[in-house]
Amino acid sequence: MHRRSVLKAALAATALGGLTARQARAAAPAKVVVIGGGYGGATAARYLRTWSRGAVDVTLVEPDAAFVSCPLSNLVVAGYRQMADITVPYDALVRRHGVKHVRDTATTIDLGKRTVRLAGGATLPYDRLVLSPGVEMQTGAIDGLLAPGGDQIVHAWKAGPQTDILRRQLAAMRDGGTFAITIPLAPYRCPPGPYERACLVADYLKQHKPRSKVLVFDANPDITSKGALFRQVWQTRYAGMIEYRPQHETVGIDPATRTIRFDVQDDERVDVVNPLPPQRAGAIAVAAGLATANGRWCEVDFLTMASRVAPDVHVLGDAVQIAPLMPKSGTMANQHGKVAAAAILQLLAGRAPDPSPLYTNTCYSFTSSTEAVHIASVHRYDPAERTMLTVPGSGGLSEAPSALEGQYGLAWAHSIWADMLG
Amino acid sequence: MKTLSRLPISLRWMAGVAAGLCAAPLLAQTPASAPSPASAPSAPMTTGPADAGKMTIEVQRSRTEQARNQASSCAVCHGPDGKPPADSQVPRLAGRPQAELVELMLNFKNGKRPGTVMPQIAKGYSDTEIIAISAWFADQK
Repeated sequence: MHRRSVLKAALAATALGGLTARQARAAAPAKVVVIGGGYGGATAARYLRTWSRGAVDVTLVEPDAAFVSCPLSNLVVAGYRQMADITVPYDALVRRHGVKHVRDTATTIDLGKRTVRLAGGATLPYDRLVLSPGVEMQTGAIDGLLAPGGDQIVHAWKAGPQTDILRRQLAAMRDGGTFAITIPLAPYRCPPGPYERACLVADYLKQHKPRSKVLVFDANPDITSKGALFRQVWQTRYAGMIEYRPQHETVGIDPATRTIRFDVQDDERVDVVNPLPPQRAGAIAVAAGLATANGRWCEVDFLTMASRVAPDVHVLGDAVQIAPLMPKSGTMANQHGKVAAAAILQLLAGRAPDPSPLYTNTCYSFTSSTEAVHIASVHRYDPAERTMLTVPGSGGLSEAPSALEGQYGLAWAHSIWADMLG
Repeated sequence: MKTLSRLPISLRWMAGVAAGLCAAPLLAQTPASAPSPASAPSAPMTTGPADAGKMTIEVQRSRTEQARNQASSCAVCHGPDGKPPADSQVPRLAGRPQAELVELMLNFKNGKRPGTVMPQIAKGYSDTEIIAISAWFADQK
């Protein structure tokens, strides 16, 4: 937004008689605080700066110096990529786009005073808040994970140190051993991700420890995404290696013996266990009272991504109570970030937001170190339903895994990282 | 702009209007008797050829911003502003002629051009949206 537009907005607000104290300081740039530098938050920060031509003051609160991508992290678990390959520093966001990066953790949001309190003691005021808190792993929901030794059992569903721990556990497993992944009831972050991980672990084992097995214990009644494609790969490329067991809800794990307990079925003892706990919106969103859907997810207005209970707080990504057929994916969080950025700039200028958001989700899953499959969908705002709906006749899946789509999957990662952090 | 003449005349007219600010050369060759295009549900297209010239700056601005917003969705694969990283397997969109991009997308949409994701994605966009998004990418240098 140009300074001229800011003044115009201030004048418009005066004319309407609705001028707040903060808007009255017409020359001061609007302040937007972004909590969380993942696919949603980093995108919002970048586009708020780009689309306002630097007129809006953007502060990103993110404790880490670099972004680590969940997409592609299963390639790291299987040893086909290094951590450095999925790590991108926040430097360019600061240097090229003028985002202020505060390396701290946001602890509380005061919705009334419009301030964010940081672990380091500072308090940041905001005109608009973008909250992209990701998911909180409800580790306590699986008995034993909080017991002594439980820290040796990792989900690696937030890319970072746990990704490398799981890689080392897999590398250290004996030939003839069993690697188990457990999946919670949907919704959870990245619907096809657990099945991709099963493929890549099996790809590694097939080459290095061919007598080993991968067990997939899924709380859901069936594979939640790309089901036919994964089934096909498991029956052909990984025949006899991957065993899929639906309707297995994991309720406990003994870290010492790596024994998994289920709500119904008999216990299973394995060599490496990788449990994905049930999830909900990041803790700060829950604490602020924004997780209005079952106390787990944040309901938003999809025109602006504003919280249904706090209109000047825009919630993005996996923390959101999703629209029908909208996945909790990195691409979707990126699209949320752009809708929020565009809407915030319109609202700051006293104008109505774009009435018809329209965006695409494209999600690649690797079925081996080089081949991938995709799922695509196009989501359009429906004014009658007041939500995003997929466009009939659009979207779809790959016919079969291919090396070409493996290339596209890698290209997707590099493009979206450039888009959000470039 | 040469390849635009290969498009149906109604699309050529829409191309001119939907392109907004960068559409002046296209509008100039639009016949006054061009048929009214079917209006897309999301685009605020209320003007006919007769009052196309009366388009206010405000309407043009909101159309350009909507095209910008919609085009930004493509960045996840094609890079910010349609500029992918140098060694990318995914084609650049920035700065390519509008007519070329429109033709590609319509062919994906109509099943005349094979692909992996693009035929599935193209079917989610109206012709008007394709024209406006293509104009936006053509404008990126």
